[in-house]
Amino acid sequence: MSDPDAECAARAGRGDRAAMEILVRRHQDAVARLLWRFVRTKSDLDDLMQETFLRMVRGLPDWRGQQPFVHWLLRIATNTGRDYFRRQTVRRRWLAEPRTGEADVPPEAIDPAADPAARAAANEVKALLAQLSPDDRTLLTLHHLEGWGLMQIADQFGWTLTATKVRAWRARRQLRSLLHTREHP
Amino acid sequence: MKTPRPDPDARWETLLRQARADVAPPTDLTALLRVVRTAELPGRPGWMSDFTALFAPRGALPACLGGASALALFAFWQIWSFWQALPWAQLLAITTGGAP
Repeated sequence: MSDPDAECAARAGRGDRAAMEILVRRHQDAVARLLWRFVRTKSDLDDLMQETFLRMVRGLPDWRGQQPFVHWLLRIATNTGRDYFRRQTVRRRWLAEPRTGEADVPPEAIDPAADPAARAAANEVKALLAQLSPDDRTLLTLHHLEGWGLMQIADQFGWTLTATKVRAWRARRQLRSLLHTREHP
Repeated sequence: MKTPRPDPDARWETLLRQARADVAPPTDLTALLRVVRTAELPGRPGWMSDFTALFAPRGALPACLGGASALALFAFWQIWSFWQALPWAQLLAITTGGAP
């Protein structure tokens, strides 16, 4: 099956700004949907969106079309999300913030959600996942919130399937312990 | 009668089901397009980028191993050929009285 973005991406790779804008308009919803799993505020989402599309522009000349363009773009978005988690962890370490501090951060003063119950649940899940290491957090975010399979995640990060399964098992065990601590303090 | 304790796993599953229904807020398309319009475009890849890609973290080790093997092979070949030529060189030196 031919890639509907191939021609546009090839033009964009040659520096055609109009083609880049078409790609942004076409895929902004898919990228936002994925990146929203990583962040809790709209401002962070906007930052990551800009970072992702900036990386897209820089990487376009190297895109060879071995995989559909949208897969390539979502791969960039996932890496951007993981880098965001890593930056958060480093900042937390430098500022010596407690690990649970992030759970108490209010998402935003004005946060109009279409489904407030879903937003509250998502924030609770994200706050729990925030207590894991960046890679474990990324893995469980993609697996639990985005519904990716372990094979897909392994392929995304260049891990072996066995290593991904072991990592997922350890992360879930840690998460279960966190849940247990929270339910029975 | 005791109240049953909440099952963390069941609660987690419910929480996940609800969380998956959360949708992203609308993004700032104008800002995105501005970023794309003003972004500095990278140079076209050429032989130089292919060459430098050889020394990227993933390609560095195989490139070093390949280079070391090639060097070892060349050195062995040189030593071998000198070794072969040495008795002839001695013979030549004897017959010419040491003159080249």
